[in-house]
Amino acid sequence: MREPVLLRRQAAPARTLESYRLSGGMAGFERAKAIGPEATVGAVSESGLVGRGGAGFPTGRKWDAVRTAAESVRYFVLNADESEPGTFKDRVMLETDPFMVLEGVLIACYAIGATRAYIYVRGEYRQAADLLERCAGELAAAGCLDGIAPGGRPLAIEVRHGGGAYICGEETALFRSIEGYRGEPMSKPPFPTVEGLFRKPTAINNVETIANVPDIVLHGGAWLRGFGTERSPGVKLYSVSGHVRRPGVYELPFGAPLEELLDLAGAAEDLQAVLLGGAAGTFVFPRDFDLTLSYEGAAERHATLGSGALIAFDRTTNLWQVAERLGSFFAHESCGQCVPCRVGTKRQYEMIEALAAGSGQGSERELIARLGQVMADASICGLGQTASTAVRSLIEAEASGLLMV
Amino acid sequence: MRERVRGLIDETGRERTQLLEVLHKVQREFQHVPRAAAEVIEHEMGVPMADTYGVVTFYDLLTERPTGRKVLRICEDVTCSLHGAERLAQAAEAALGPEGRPTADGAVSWTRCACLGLCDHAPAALFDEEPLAPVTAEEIGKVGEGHA
Repeated sequence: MREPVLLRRQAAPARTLESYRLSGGMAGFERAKAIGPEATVGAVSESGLVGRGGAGFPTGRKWDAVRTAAESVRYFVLNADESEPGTFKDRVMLETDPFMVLEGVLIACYAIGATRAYIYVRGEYRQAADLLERCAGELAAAGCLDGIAPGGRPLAIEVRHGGGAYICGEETALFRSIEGYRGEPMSKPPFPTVEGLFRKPTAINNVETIANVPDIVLHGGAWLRGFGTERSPGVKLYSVSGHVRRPGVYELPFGAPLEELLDLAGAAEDLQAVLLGGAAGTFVFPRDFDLTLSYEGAAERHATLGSGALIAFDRTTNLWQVAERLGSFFAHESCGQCVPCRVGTKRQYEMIEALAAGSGQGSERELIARLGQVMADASICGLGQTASTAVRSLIEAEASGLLMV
Repeated sequence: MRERVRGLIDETGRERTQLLEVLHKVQREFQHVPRAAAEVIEHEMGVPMADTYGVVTFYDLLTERPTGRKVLRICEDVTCSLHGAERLAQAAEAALGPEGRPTADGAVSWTRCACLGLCDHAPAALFDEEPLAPVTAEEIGKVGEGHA
Protein backbone atom coordinates (compact mmCIF):
# COMPACT_ATOMS: atom_id res chain seq x y z
CA MET A 1 0.00 0.00 0.00
CA ARG A 2 1.09 3.55 -0.68
CA GLU A 3 2.59 5.35 2.32
CA PRO A 4 0.40 8.24 3.40
CA VAL A 5 1.86 11.72 3.00
CA LEU A 6 -0.32 14.15 4.93
CA LEU A 7 -1.68 11.49 7.29
CA ARG A 8 1.63 9.82 8.04
CA ARG A 9 1.58 10.70 11.74
CA GLN A 10 -2.01 9.64 12.27
CA ALA A 11 -1.03 6.35 13.88
CA ALA A 12 1.42 8.05 16.25
CA PRO A 13 0.52 11.73 16.54
CA ALA A 14 3.42 14.10 17.27
CA ARG A 15 2.12 16.62 19.76
CA THR A 16 5.46 17.81 21.11
CA LEU A 17 8.19 19.55 19.16
CA GLU A 18 10.64 16.87 20.23
CA SER A 19 8.55 14.00 18.91
CA TYR A 20 7.87 15.98 15.74
CA ARG A 21 11.59 16.48 15.17
CA LEU A 22 12.32 12.83 15.90
CA SER A 23 9.87 11.83 13.19
CA GLY A 24 11.59 14.02 10.61
CA GLY A 25 9.83 17.30 11.29
CA MET A 26 11.26 20.83 10.80
CA ALA A 27 13.57 19.72 7.97
CA GLY A 28 11.48 21.63 5.42
CA PHE A 29 11.76 24.78 7.48
CA GLU A 30 15.53 24.41 7.75
CA ARG A 31 15.68 23.88 4.00
CA ALA A 32 13.60 27.02 3.38
CA LYS A 33 16.01 29.12 5.44
CA ALA A 34 18.94 27.64 3.51
CA ILE A 35 17.53 28.37 0.05
CA GLY A 36 15.90 31.73 0.86
CA PRO A 37 12.41 33.17 0.35
CA GLU A 38 12.47 33.44 -3.45
CA ALA A 39 13.50 29.84 -4.03
CA THR A 40 11.00 28.70 -1.40
CA VAL A 41 8.15 30.39 -3.24
CA GLY A 42 9.62 28.99 -6.45
CA ALA A 43 9.42 25.43 -5.14
CA VAL A 44 5.78 25.90 -4.12
CA SER A 45 4.94 27.38 -7.53
CA GLU A 46 6.72 24.58 -9.36
CA SER A 47 4.88 21.94 -7.33
CA GLY A 48 1.54 23.04 -8.77
CA LEU A 49 -0.02 23.11 -5.28
CA VAL A 50 -3.46 24.69 -5.31
CA GLY A 51 -5.71 25.62 -2.38
CA ARG A 52 -7.44 22.64 -0.77
CA GLY A 53 -10.20 24.62 0.94
CA GLY A 54 -12.40 24.47 -2.13
CA ALA A 55 -11.40 27.33 -4.42
CA GLY A 56 -8.28 25.69 -5.87
CA PHE A 57 -6.18 28.83 -6.40
CA PRO A 58 -2.45 28.26 -7.07
CA THR A 59 -0.62 28.72 -3.75
CA GLY A 60 2.68 29.78 -5.33
CA ARG A 61 1.03 32.60 -7.25
CA LYS A 62 -0.58 33.87 -4.06
CA TRP A 63 2.71 33.81 -2.19
CA ASP A 64 4.64 35.44 -4.99
CA ALA A 65 2.18 38.34 -5.16
CA VAL A 66 2.57 39.01 -1.44
CA ARG A 67 6.32 38.45 -1.42
CA THR A 68 6.85 41.05 -4.14
CA ALA A 69 4.28 43.56 -2.81
CA ALA A 70 5.54 47.08 -2.26
CA GLU A 71 4.00 47.28 1.24
CA SER A 72 6.36 46.35 4.05
CA VAL A 73 3.58 45.21 6.43
CA ARG A 74 2.27 41.85 5.26
CA TYR A 75 0.26 39.13 6.92
CA PHE A 76 -0.16 35.42 6.75
CA VAL A 77 -3.48 33.90 7.79
CA LEU A 78 -4.15 30.22 8.35
CA ASN A 79 -7.77 29.46 7.59
CA ALA A 80 -8.79 26.82 10.11
CA ASP A 81 -12.44 27.86 10.10
CA GLU A 82 -13.52 24.50 8.74
CA SER A 83 -17.32 24.62 8.71
CA GLU A 84 -18.42 23.08 5.41
CA PRO A 85 -21.02 20.44 6.33
CA GLY A 86 -19.47 16.99 6.15
CA THR A 87 -15.91 18.32 6.38
CA PHE A 88 -13.60 17.40 9.26
CA LYS A 89 -10.21 16.73 7.64
CA ASP A 90 -8.64 19.94 8.97
CA ARG A 91 -9.66 19.08 12.53
CA VAL A 92 -8.03 15.68 12.16
CA MET A 93 -4.87 17.27 10.68
CA LEU A 94 -4.68 19.83 13.48
CA GLU A 95 -5.24 17.27 16.22
CA THR A 96 -2.89 14.60 14.93
CA ASP A 97 -0.10 16.64 13.34
CA PRO A 98 -0.25 20.22 14.64
CA PHE A 99 3.46 20.83 14.11
CA MET A 100 3.36 19.91 10.42
CA VAL A 101 0.72 22.59 9.95
CA LEU A 102 2.71 25.09 12.03
CA GLU A 103 5.92 24.27 10.14
CA GLY A 104 4.05 25.12 6.95
CA VAL A 105 2.96 28.39 8.54
CA LEU A 106 6.56 29.26 9.48
CA ILE A 107 7.74 28.52 5.94
CA ALA A 108 4.94 30.61 4.45
CA CYS A 109 5.68 33.55 6.74
CA TYR A 110 9.38 33.39 6.01
CA ALA A 111 8.79 33.09 2.26
CA ILE A 112 6.40 36.04 1.94
CA GLY A 113 8.05 38.21 4.59
CA ALA A 114 5.06 38.28 6.91
CA THR A 115 5.24 40.52 9.94
CA ARG A 116 2.61 38.51 11.81
CA ALA A 117 0.67 35.28 11.42
CA TYR A 118 -2.93 34.78 12.46
CA ILE A 119 -4.39 31.33 12.98
CA TYR A 120 -8.17 31.55 12.78
CA VAL A 121 -9.73 28.42 14.24
CA ARG A 122 -13.48 27.87 14.23
CA GLY A 123 -14.91 28.54 17.69
CA GLU A 124 -16.27 25.01 18.03
CA TYR A 125 -12.75 23.55 17.66
CA ARG A 126 -11.61 24.80 21.08
CA GLN A 127 -9.46 21.73 21.73
CA ALA A 128 -7.63 22.09 18.43
CA ALA A 129 -7.13 25.81 19.07
CA ASP A 130 -5.70 25.16 22.53
CA LEU A 131 -3.35 22.54 21.10
CA LEU A 132 -2.14 24.94 18.38
CA GLU A 133 -1.58 27.66 20.94
CA ARG A 134 0.50 25.34 23.08
CA CYS A 135 2.50 24.10 20.08
CA ALA A 136 3.13 27.64 18.83
CA GLY A 137 4.37 28.45 22.34
CA GLU A 138 6.76 25.51 22.16
CA LEU A 139 8.11 26.73 18.82
CA ALA A 140 8.63 30.21 20.27
CA ALA A 141 10.39 28.82 23.36
CA ALA A 142 12.68 26.74 21.14
CA GLY A 143 13.66 29.87 19.21
CA CYS A 144 12.08 28.68 15.96
CA LEU A 145 10.28 31.99 15.45
CA ASP A 146 13.39 34.11 15.89
CA GLY A 147 14.62 36.01 12.89
CA ILE A 148 11.87 34.89 10.50
CA ALA A 149 10.05 38.22 10.25
CA PRO A 150 11.47 41.04 8.11
CA GLY A 151 14.44 42.80 9.64
CA GLY A 152 15.43 39.66 11.53
CA ARG A 153 12.67 40.13 14.11
CA PRO A 154 10.84 37.24 15.71
CA LEU A 155 7.59 36.20 14.11
CA ALA A 156 4.42 36.77 16.14
CA ILE A 157 1.76 34.08 15.90
CA GLU A 158 -1.73 34.79 17.21
CA VAL A 159 -4.45 32.19 17.55
CA ARG A 160 -7.95 33.62 17.05
CA HIS A 161 -11.27 31.95 17.76
CA GLY A 162 -14.15 32.10 15.33
CA GLY A 163 -17.61 33.01 16.52
CA GLY A 164 -19.58 30.18 14.97
CA ALA A 165 -20.32 31.54 11.49
CA TYR A 166 -19.86 29.45 8.34
CA ILE A 167 -19.36 32.57 6.25
CA CYS A 168 -16.12 33.37 8.07
CA GLY A 169 -14.43 30.62 6.08
CA GLU A 170 -14.72 33.03 3.15
CA GLU A 171 -11.41 34.86 3.19
CA THR A 172 -12.56 38.49 3.24
CA ALA A 173 -15.21 37.68 5.87
CA LEU A 174 -12.51 36.01 7.93
CA PHE A 175 -10.41 39.19 7.75
CA ARG A 176 -13.37 41.28 8.95
CA SER A 177 -13.82 38.87 11.82
CA ILE A 178 -10.17 39.18 12.88
CA GLU A 179 -10.48 42.96 12.62
CA GLY A 180 -13.37 42.87 15.10
CA TYR A 181 -16.41 43.19 12.85
CA ARG A 182 -19.33 41.15 11.58
CA GLY A 183 -18.02 38.58 9.13
CA GLU A 184 -19.40 40.16 6.00
CA PRO A 185 -17.49 39.39 2.78
CA MET A 186 -16.17 42.17 0.58
CA SER A 187 -16.30 42.41 -3.18
CA LYS A 188 -13.16 41.27 -5.00
CA PRO A 189 -11.02 42.78 -6.43
CA PRO A 190 -9.03 44.01 -4.62
CA PHE A 191 -7.79 40.52 -3.84
CA PRO A 192 -6.26 39.68 -0.45
CA THR A 193 -2.75 39.57 -1.90
CA VAL A 194 -3.14 43.30 -2.63
CA GLU A 195 -5.52 44.46 0.12
CA GLY A 196 -6.21 41.76 2.68
CA LEU A 197 -6.20 41.80 6.45
CA PHE A 198 -6.08 45.42 7.75
CA ARG A 199 -5.91 46.32 4.02
CA LYS A 200 -2.36 44.97 3.81
CA PRO A 201 -1.09 42.31 1.41
CA THR A 202 -2.11 38.97 2.89
CA ALA A 203 -1.60 35.33 1.99
CA ILE A 204 -4.35 33.11 3.35
CA ASN A 205 -4.22 29.33 3.09
CA ASN A 206 -6.31 26.40 4.23
CA VAL A 207 -4.91 23.95 6.80
CA GLU A 208 -4.56 21.06 4.33
CA THR A 209 -2.86 23.28 1.76
CA ILE A 210 -0.27 24.46 4.24
CA ALA A 211 0.37 20.91 5.51
CA ASN A 212 1.75 20.11 2.04
CA VAL A 213 4.37 22.84 2.24
CA PRO A 214 7.12 21.34 4.44
CA ASP A 215 7.53 18.31 2.14
CA ILE A 216 7.42 20.42 -1.01
CA VAL A 217 10.19 22.68 0.23
CA LEU A 218 12.27 19.81 1.57
CA HIS A 219 12.03 17.61 -1.53
CA GLY A 220 11.62 20.28 -4.21
CA GLY A 221 8.63 21.25 -6.32
CA ALA A 222 8.90 18.24 -8.62
CA TRP A 223 8.25 15.92 -5.65
CA LEU A 224 4.54 16.79 -5.42
CA ARG A 225 4.15 16.06 -9.13
CA GLY A 226 5.14 12.48 -8.34
CA PHE A 227 1.56 12.09 -7.06
CA GLY A 228 -1.71 12.71 -8.81
CA THR A 229 -2.45 13.82 -12.34
CA GLU A 230 -0.74 16.34 -14.57
CA ARG A 231 -3.37 18.98 -13.92
CA SER A 232 -3.97 18.06 -10.26
CA PRO A 233 -0.62 17.19 -8.68
CA GLY A 234 -0.43 15.78 -5.18
CA VAL A 235 -2.73 14.03 -2.76
CA LYS A 236 -6.09 15.04 -1.34
CA LEU A 237 -7.80 14.45 1.97
CA TYR A 238 -11.42 13.35 1.94
CA SER A 239 -13.84 13.50 4.85
CA VAL A 240 -16.17 10.54 4.39
CA SER A 241 -19.34 10.07 6.44
CA GLY A 242 -22.94 8.96 6.15
CA HIS A 243 -23.88 5.42 5.16
CA VAL A 244 -20.39 3.95 5.27
CA ARG A 245 -18.95 1.39 7.68
CA ARG A 246 -15.68 3.23 8.28
CA PRO A 247 -16.28 6.98 8.33
CA GLY A 248 -13.11 9.02 8.59
CA VAL A 249 -10.44 10.97 6.75
CA TYR A 250 -8.85 9.28 3.74
CA GLU A 251 -5.90 10.35 1.65
CA LEU A 252 -5.69 9.53 -2.05
CA PRO A 253 -3.55 10.82 -4.88
CA PHE A 254 -5.56 12.89 -7.34
CA GLY A 255 -6.88 10.76 -10.16
CA ALA A 256 -8.16 7.86 -8.06
CA PRO A 257 -11.69 6.79 -8.93
CA LEU A 258 -14.53 7.75 -6.60
CA GLU A 259 -15.29 4.02 -6.28
CA GLU A 260 -11.92 3.47 -4.60
CA LEU A 261 -12.75 6.02 -1.92
CA LEU A 262 -16.14 4.41 -1.37
CA ASP A 263 -14.46 1.00 -0.99
CA LEU A 264 -11.93 2.35 1.50
CA ALA A 265 -14.69 3.76 3.66
CA GLY A 266 -16.81 0.67 3.38
CA ALA A 267 -19.75 2.21 1.61
CA ALA A 268 -22.94 0.20 1.28
CA GLU A 269 -23.06 -1.79 -1.98
CA ASP A 270 -26.28 -0.21 -3.13
CA LEU A 271 -25.78 3.47 -2.47
CA GLN A 272 -28.39 5.80 -3.88
CA ALA A 273 -26.04 8.76 -4.18
CA VAL A 274 -23.26 10.74 -2.50
CA LEU A 275 -23.03 14.45 -1.80
CA LEU A 276 -19.57 15.44 -3.02
CA GLY A 277 -18.01 18.76 -1.98
CA GLY A 278 -20.18 19.61 1.00
CA ALA A 279 -23.25 21.83 1.12
CA ALA A 280 -21.94 23.78 -1.86
CA GLY A 281 -21.24 20.58 -3.79
CA THR A 282 -23.39 18.32 -5.95
CA PHE A 283 -25.19 15.01 -5.62
CA VAL A 284 -23.39 12.29 -7.58
CA PHE A 285 -25.24 9.10 -8.56
CA PRO A 286 -23.93 5.57 -9.23
CA ARG A 287 -23.74 6.14 -13.00
CA ASP A 288 -20.95 8.65 -12.20
CA PHE A 289 -19.15 6.68 -9.48
CA ASP A 290 -16.35 5.99 -11.96
CA LEU A 291 -15.44 9.69 -12.00
CA THR A 292 -11.81 10.40 -11.22
CA LEU A 293 -11.19 12.44 -8.10
CA SER A 294 -9.26 15.36 -9.52
CA TYR A 295 -10.23 18.95 -10.22
CA GLU A 296 -10.59 18.21 -13.94
CA GLY A 297 -12.19 14.81 -13.42
CA ALA A 298 -14.92 16.25 -11.20
CA ALA A 299 -15.53 19.17 -13.57
CA GLU A 300 -15.99 16.71 -16.45
CA ARG A 301 -19.07 15.35 -14.65
CA HIS A 302 -20.28 18.81 -13.59
CA ALA A 303 -19.29 18.02 -10.02
CA THR A 304 -16.78 19.62 -7.68
CA LEU A 305 -14.37 18.24 -5.12
CA GLY A 306 -14.85 21.33 -2.97
CA SER A 307 -13.23 20.71 0.39
CA GLY A 308 -13.21 16.95 -0.23
CA ALA A 309 -16.33 16.16 1.79
CA LEU A 310 -18.27 13.05 0.83
CA ILE A 311 -21.54 12.06 2.48
CA ALA A 312 -23.00 8.73 1.35
CA PHE A 313 -26.73 7.95 1.22
CA ASP A 314 -28.29 4.51 0.97
CA ARG A 315 -31.51 3.70 -0.86
CA THR A 316 -33.70 4.49 2.13
CA THR A 317 -32.63 8.14 2.29
CA ASN A 318 -35.05 10.77 1.10
CA LEU A 319 -32.70 13.11 -0.74
CA TRP A 320 -35.26 15.89 -0.71
CA GLN A 321 -34.98 15.87 3.06
CA VAL A 322 -31.22 16.19 2.67
CA ALA A 323 -31.75 19.11 0.30
CA GLU A 324 -34.12 20.65 2.84
CA ARG A 325 -31.40 20.48 5.47
CA LEU A 326 -28.94 22.14 3.06
CA GLY A 327 -31.50 24.82 2.22
CA SER A 328 -32.02 25.56 5.90
CA PHE A 329 -28.25 25.70 6.39
CA PHE A 330 -27.72 28.33 3.68
CA ALA A 331 -30.69 30.42 4.82
CA HIS A 332 -29.25 30.45 8.34
CA GLU A 333 -25.64 31.05 7.35
CA SER A 334 -26.21 33.80 4.77
CA CYS A 335 -24.63 36.90 6.30
CA GLY A 336 -27.56 38.99 5.07
CA GLN A 337 -25.45 41.66 3.48
CA CYS A 338 -26.50 41.30 -0.16
CA VAL A 339 -30.08 40.90 -1.33
CA PRO A 340 -29.74 37.98 -3.80
CA CYS A 341 -28.34 35.76 -1.07
CA ARG A 342 -30.28 37.06 1.95
CA VAL A 343 -33.64 36.76 0.22
CA GLY A 344 -32.69 34.05 -2.25
CA THR A 345 -31.56 31.50 0.31
CA LYS A 346 -34.81 32.04 2.29
CA ARG A 347 -37.09 31.65 -0.75
CA GLN A 348 -35.09 28.67 -1.91
CA TYR A 349 -35.48 27.03 1.49
CA GLU A 350 -39.24 27.55 1.46
CA MET A 351 -39.54 25.97 -1.96
CA ILE A 352 -37.38 22.98 -1.03
CA GLU A 353 -39.45 22.55 2.14
CA ALA A 354 -42.60 22.41 0.03
CA LEU A 355 -41.05 19.88 -2.35
CA ALA A 356 -39.77 17.73 0.53
CA ALA A 357 -43.24 17.78 2.10
CA GLY A 358 -44.86 16.95 -1.22
CA SER A 359 -46.91 20.13 -1.09
CA GLY A 360 -45.30 21.89 -4.03
CA GLN A 361 -47.38 23.77 -6.57
CA GLY A 362 -45.53 22.45 -9.59
CA SER A 363 -43.53 25.57 -10.37
CA GLU A 364 -40.87 25.19 -7.65
CA ARG A 365 -38.30 23.28 -9.66
CA GLU A 366 -38.13 25.84 -12.41
CA LEU A 367 -38.17 28.73 -9.95
CA ILE A 368 -35.31 27.20 -7.94
CA ALA A 369 -33.25 26.93 -11.12
CA ARG A 370 -33.94 30.55 -12.07
CA LEU A 371 -33.40 31.85 -8.55
CA GLY A 372 -30.18 29.85 -8.32
CA GLN A 373 -28.91 31.51 -11.47
CA VAL A 374 -29.67 34.95 -10.02
CA MET A 375 -27.83 34.08 -6.81
CA ALA A 376 -24.89 32.71 -8.78
CA ASP A 377 -24.72 35.86 -10.92
CA ALA A 378 -25.41 38.55 -8.35
CA SER A 379 -24.19 37.43 -4.92
CA ILE A 380 -21.09 39.05 -3.46
CA CYS A 381 -19.42 35.83 -2.37
CA GLY A 382 -19.29 32.11 -2.87
CA LEU A 383 -22.02 31.34 -0.34
CA GLY A 384 -24.85 32.78 -2.42
CA GLN A 385 -23.11 31.82 -5.64
CA THR A 386 -23.16 28.12 -4.75
CA ALA A 387 -26.22 27.92 -2.47
CA SER A 388 -28.34 26.25 -5.15
CA THR A 389 -25.72 23.97 -6.70
CA ALA A 390 -26.71 20.87 -4.74
CA VAL A 391 -30.46 21.25 -5.08
CA ARG A 392 -30.16 21.95 -8.79
CA SER A 393 -28.16 18.75 -9.23
CA LEU A 394 -30.92 16.94 -7.35
CA ILE A 395 -33.62 18.37 -9.63
CA GLU A 396 -31.68 17.18 -12.68
CA ALA A 397 -31.23 13.71 -11.19
CA GLU A 398 -34.91 13.50 -10.35
CA ALA A 399 -35.78 14.33 -13.94
CA SER A 400 -33.50 11.48 -15.04
CA GLY A 401 -35.33 9.10 -12.69
CA LEU A 402 -32.38 8.49 -10.36
CA LEU A 403 -34.11 9.02 -7.00
CA MET A 404 -35.11 5.91 -5.04
CA VAL A 405 -37.43 7.44 -2.46
CA MET B 1 -19.44 43.13 36.67
CA ARG B 2 -18.13 46.26 34.95
CA GLU B 3 -14.89 45.86 36.86
CA ARG B 4 -14.58 42.28 35.62
CA VAL B 5 -15.20 43.31 31.99
CA ARG B 6 -12.53 45.99 32.33
CA GLY B 7 -10.18 43.27 33.61
CA LEU B 8 -10.94 41.05 30.60
CA ILE B 9 -10.22 43.96 28.26
CA ASP B 10 -6.97 44.69 30.10
CA GLU B 11 -5.74 41.12 29.68
CA THR B 12 -6.83 40.86 26.02
CA GLY B 13 -6.13 44.24 24.45
CA ARG B 14 -7.99 47.47 23.73
CA GLU B 15 -7.68 47.46 19.94
CA ARG B 16 -10.79 46.85 17.87
CA THR B 17 -9.19 43.69 16.46
CA GLN B 18 -9.55 42.08 19.91
CA LEU B 19 -13.32 42.62 20.03
CA LEU B 20 -14.29 39.02 19.24
CA GLU B 21 -11.76 37.64 21.74
CA VAL B 22 -13.05 40.02 24.44
CA LEU B 23 -16.65 39.05 23.67
CA HIS B 24 -15.79 35.34 23.85
CA LYS B 25 -14.43 35.92 27.36
CA VAL B 26 -17.44 37.99 28.41
CA GLN B 27 -19.74 35.27 27.08
CA ARG B 28 -17.84 32.60 28.96
CA GLU B 29 -17.93 34.57 32.21
CA PHE B 30 -21.55 35.80 32.11
CA GLN B 31 -23.12 33.31 29.64
CA HIS B 32 -24.18 36.27 27.49
CA VAL B 33 -23.01 39.74 26.53
CA PRO B 34 -24.97 42.06 28.82
CA ARG B 35 -25.73 45.63 27.84
CA ALA B 36 -23.49 46.85 30.64
CA ALA B 37 -20.55 44.96 29.11
CA ALA B 38 -21.20 46.68 25.77
CA GLU B 39 -21.10 50.01 27.64
CA VAL B 40 -17.74 49.18 29.17
CA ILE B 41 -16.45 48.05 25.78
CA GLU B 42 -17.56 51.35 24.25
CA HIS B 43 -15.83 53.30 27.00
CA GLU B 44 -12.62 51.25 27.11
CA MET B 45 -12.21 50.16 23.48
CA GLY B 46 -14.08 52.89 21.64
CA VAL B 47 -16.36 50.38 19.92
CA PRO B 48 -19.88 51.85 19.60
CA MET B 49 -22.53 49.85 21.42
CA ALA B 50 -24.41 49.46 18.15
CA ASP B 51 -21.35 47.75 16.66
CA THR B 52 -21.04 45.38 19.59
CA TYR B 53 -24.74 44.57 19.25
CA GLY B 54 -24.18 43.91 15.53
CA VAL B 55 -21.26 41.61 16.22
CA VAL B 56 -22.99 39.70 19.05
CA THR B 57 -26.09 39.03 16.95
CA PHE B 58 -23.96 37.95 13.98
CA TYR B 59 -22.07 35.11 15.65
CA ASP B 60 -23.84 31.98 16.91
CA LEU B 61 -21.49 31.52 19.87
CA LEU B 62 -22.33 34.94 21.30
CA THR B 63 -25.75 35.67 22.78
CA GLU B 64 -27.73 38.64 24.07
CA ARG B 65 -29.66 36.50 26.56
CA PRO B 66 -28.10 34.20 29.13
CA THR B 67 -27.45 30.61 28.15
CA GLY B 68 -26.88 27.94 30.77
CA ARG B 69 -23.44 27.89 32.43
CA LYS B 70 -22.81 25.01 30.07
CA VAL B 71 -24.30 24.76 26.59
CA LEU B 72 -25.16 21.50 24.89
CA ARG B 73 -25.05 21.89 21.11
CA ILE B 74 -26.67 19.13 19.11
CA CYS B 75 -25.63 18.90 15.48
CA GLU B 76 -28.62 18.65 13.17
CA ASP B 77 -26.69 18.71 9.92
CA VAL B 78 -26.76 16.20 7.08
CA THR B 79 -24.63 13.36 8.46
CA CYS B 80 -25.89 13.60 12.03
CA SER B 81 -29.48 13.67 10.75
CA LEU B 82 -28.84 10.34 9.02
CA HIS B 83 -27.73 9.00 12.40
CA GLY B 84 -30.68 10.14 14.47
CA ALA B 85 -29.98 13.76 15.44
CA GLU B 86 -33.69 14.43 15.84
CA ARG B 87 -33.98 11.75 18.54
CA LEU B 88 -31.16 13.50 20.41
CA ALA B 89 -32.98 16.81 20.22
CA GLN B 90 -36.11 15.16 21.61
CA ALA B 91 -34.08 13.64 24.44
CA ALA B 92 -32.60 17.06 25.20
CA GLU B 93 -36.01 18.66 25.25
CA ALA B 94 -37.30 15.98 27.60
CA ALA B 95 -34.34 16.29 29.94
CA LEU B 96 -33.61 20.01 29.83
CA GLY B 97 -36.76 21.72 28.65
CA PRO B 98 -37.28 23.98 25.65
CA GLU B 99 -34.38 24.74 23.31
CA GLY B 100 -32.45 27.85 24.31
CA ARG B 101 -33.89 28.18 27.82
CA PRO B 102 -31.52 27.44 30.72
CA THR B 103 -32.60 24.91 33.36
CA ALA B 104 -34.07 26.42 36.54
CA ASP B 105 -30.70 26.29 38.30
CA GLY B 106 -29.07 28.02 35.32
CA ALA B 107 -26.66 25.11 34.82
CA VAL B 108 -27.42 23.94 31.30
CA SER B 109 -29.15 25.04 28.13
CA TRP B 110 -29.27 23.26 24.80
CA THR B 111 -29.49 24.27 21.18
CA ARG B 112 -29.47 22.71 17.73
CA CYS B 113 -26.53 23.72 15.59
CA ALA B 114 -24.95 23.38 12.16
CA CYS B 115 -22.21 20.85 11.34
CA LEU B 116 -19.68 20.57 14.18
CA GLY B 117 -17.06 18.84 12.03
CA LEU B 118 -17.49 15.59 13.99
CA CYS B 119 -19.24 13.67 11.20
CA ASP B 120 -16.81 10.74 11.56
CA HIS B 121 -18.36 10.13 14.98
CA ALA B 122 -21.98 10.99 14.17
CA PRO B 123 -24.35 11.66 15.78
CA ALA B 124 -22.43 14.42 17.50
CA ALA B 125 -22.94 17.01 20.17
CA LEU B 126 -20.68 19.49 21.90
CA PHE B 127 -21.04 19.95 25.66
CA ASP B 128 -19.35 23.24 26.34
CA GLU B 129 -16.02 22.58 24.69
CA GLU B 130 -16.06 18.82 24.94
CA PRO B 131 -17.21 16.72 21.97
CA LEU B 132 -19.74 14.00 22.78
CA ALA B 133 -19.48 11.84 19.70
CA PRO B 134 -21.03 9.48 19.03
CA VAL B 135 -23.66 10.31 21.60
CA THR B 136 -26.84 8.44 22.53
CA ALA B 137 -30.21 9.74 23.68
CA GLU B 138 -29.50 8.18 27.11
CA GLU B 139 -26.25 10.13 27.42
CA ILE B 140 -28.05 13.33 26.46
CA GLY B 141 -30.56 12.55 29.18
CA LYS B 142 -27.74 12.17 31.72
CA VAL B 143 -26.46 15.66 30.93
CA GLY B 144 -29.77 16.91 32.31
CA GLU B 145 -29.77 14.84 35.51
CA GLY B 146 -30.24 17.01 38.58
CA HIS B 147 -30.83 20.16 36.54
CA ALA B 148 -34.39 19.90 35.29
